[in-house]
Amino acid sequence: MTILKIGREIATENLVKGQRVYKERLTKRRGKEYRMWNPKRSKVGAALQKGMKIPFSETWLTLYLGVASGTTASHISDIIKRGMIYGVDPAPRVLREFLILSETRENLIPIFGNANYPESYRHIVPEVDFIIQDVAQPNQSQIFLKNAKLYLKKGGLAFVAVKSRSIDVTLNPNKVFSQFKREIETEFEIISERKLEPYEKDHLALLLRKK
Amino acid sequence: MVSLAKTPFGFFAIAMQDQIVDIKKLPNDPKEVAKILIGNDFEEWRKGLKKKGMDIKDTIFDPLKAALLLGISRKEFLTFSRLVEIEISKLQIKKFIGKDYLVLQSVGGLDDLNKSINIVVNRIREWYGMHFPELKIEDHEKFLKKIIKGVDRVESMGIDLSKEDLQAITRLAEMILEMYKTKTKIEVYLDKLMDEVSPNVKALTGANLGARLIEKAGSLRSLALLPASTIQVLGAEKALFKHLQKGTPSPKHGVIFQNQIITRAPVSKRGKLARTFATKIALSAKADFFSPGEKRPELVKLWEKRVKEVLK
Ligand SMILES: C[S@@+](CC[C@H](N)C(=O)[O-])C[C@H]1O[C@@H](n2cnc3c(N)ncnc32)[C@H](O)[C@@H]1O
Repeated sequence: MTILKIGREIATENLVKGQRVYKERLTKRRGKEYRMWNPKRSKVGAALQKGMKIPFSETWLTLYLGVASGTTASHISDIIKRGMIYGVDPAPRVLREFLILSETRENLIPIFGNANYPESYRHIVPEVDFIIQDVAQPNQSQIFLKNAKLYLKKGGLAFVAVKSRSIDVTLNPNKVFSQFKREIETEFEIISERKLEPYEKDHLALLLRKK
Repeated sequence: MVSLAKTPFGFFAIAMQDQIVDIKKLPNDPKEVAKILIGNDFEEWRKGLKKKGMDIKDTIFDPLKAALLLGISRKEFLTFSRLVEIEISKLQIKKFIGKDYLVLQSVGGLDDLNKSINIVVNRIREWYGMHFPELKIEDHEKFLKKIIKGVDRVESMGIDLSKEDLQAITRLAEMILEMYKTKTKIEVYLDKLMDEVSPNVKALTGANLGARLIEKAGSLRSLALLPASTIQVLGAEKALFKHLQKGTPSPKHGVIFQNQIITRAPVSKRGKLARTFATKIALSAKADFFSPGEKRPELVKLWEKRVKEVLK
């Protein structure tokens, strides 16, 4: 398996020998090189660290909304090997970093786009097996539903990081979380959920399946 | 009914889920394809089909399924689309990076305009003053409009000027009015530019002051990296220099004192307000630089709340 537990930490088998993406530590186990996955820098990493199980497959096509410079995407890239990650972000500076990373990894595609307009990347993104969303925007649930409708296959999975402070600072985070769940529950089944403390404050990670 | 597909391999019109009824193939070179995909070739092609009377669905067909219909393998599709989209991203990122430099130049351009306007208006006032020294209108623009329109000069101590003499002055006045218009247009442009470059700072400070801060700092990046204490005195470099050289009191007044709330506050509260304001500006600039696109309305709310507390 490409995800390895090393003591209390997790790591992924490095797809590009010797490459460090965000100054993470590299380590050798049984002749293979692994990149330590820092849960403070990655919400997927934090959720896995807190016991969430995601049944990754090596061929998954993944749509990643809010890919930023690709810290998390780099680990997903290690895991899904022969699949593809479509990384969307509207911020030029961070997407430029992801672009540079994409040139070194054949399963990454940088898309300079805005997840509010899912049709704008229809020329390149096919039906996908998995969506990751980490956009920290007030209309997160809307963005998610629109993209899932257009791109996620029936029965496909989604990992969503809900940041309560981006949705409404004044509300109690738990209220924001349950509101988010209500908004997606007609179309999605919640498979697992984790609060991301102590790695992230006021964040909930959800693993969803499209009904 | 036909569905259309826009893919890196070509544009397809597909009937009954799997019959290709029309196709426009694209070249094999990712760079060329990138240019075509971000241009409006697809729209043109679609219009052409409509003209031919085709009944076209609104939704766009899955690009991989379309490619498979053409006999292209999944692997080929993924490999080629990746190369194409890398080119597209390069083209688009190039267009966006460094927009804060446009803010810098706009602010500089406005400064130059203001200086030029002032120099020439002072000249006009002196010149026209020979003719009609009693005309006292402080507002430059109103003054210029008035002399262009012409005034009844009864009982003036000024000398008489011929039509030709006056025309030389009013020509200059007309040019300055034109410069005022240009200034307004650049301000409107800067306002829009700030929405793109630094929306959170703009929400807090307004476009002009926000742009001025970026200009003083040298770039959005440097503003984002400055501590609040420095932001507070940005624009007071002369006073700061004197303070360091001669031990005069340290300056408390940077350009952020242009903010109306601070200007209107009682003198005893200004320092406190300026400190808070600078802190919020620092946070907003960080948000704009490090997570562009992320809106942080709570920063404005926190500032407003603090203002109420301080002014209570
Ligand atoms: C918290 S960061 C993501 C970090 C990244 N997921 C990781 O773990 O490496 C949030 C990102 O969402 C992006 N974002 C904001 N609005 C977006 C939108 N409408 N569509 C896509 N991305 C968006 C921001 O530009 C920012 O890069």
